[in-house]
Amino acid sequence: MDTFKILGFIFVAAALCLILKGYKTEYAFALAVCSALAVLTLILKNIAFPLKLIQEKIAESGIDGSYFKVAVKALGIGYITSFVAEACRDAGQNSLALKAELTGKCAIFILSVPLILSILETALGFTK
Amino acid sequence: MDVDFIFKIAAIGIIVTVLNLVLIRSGREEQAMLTTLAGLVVVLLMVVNSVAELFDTVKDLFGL
Repeated sequence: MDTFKILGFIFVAAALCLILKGYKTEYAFALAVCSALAVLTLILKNIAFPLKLIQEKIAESGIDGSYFKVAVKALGIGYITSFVAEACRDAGQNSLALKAELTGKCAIFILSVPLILSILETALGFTK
Repeated sequence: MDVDFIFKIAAIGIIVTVLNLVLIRSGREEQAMLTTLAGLVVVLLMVVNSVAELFDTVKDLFGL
């Protein structure tokens, strides 16, 4: 499903949400979340193949794969967190959206701690 | 796939709205309230199921 089909689909979903918002706002919210889900699933399908390609290339080339793994995990966390934060904003809950983003940031920070430590060790190694 | 979810939810929303109006006109406010609640439960269950499905796909893909 190429980009123009996805964009067209998003446009139709937005129009449907507008219709439903007039009568029942909770359905408009459910519709918005569901269309976001559909788009994200489609995008995931497109992303899966190149990601596998890069991982295989890095595995072959012998570079330490852990750094790339952390980056891919951070990407996944960011992906889900932004989806949830935007859904909360759709529902009008700005404070909840900020909490969701805060959770995502903390998760990514925890993920990156080993990376920071290894960089510090190499840096300290130079000073000795 | 998820694409027809959207139209299912839109259809449920419109049907529940029409049912609501009909029930309110005929003087049965309680049933109107119950129909809206039932429709909402059905829609939210569908949404929760597809959210779970998306989270699983992301977990597999990004190795979380």
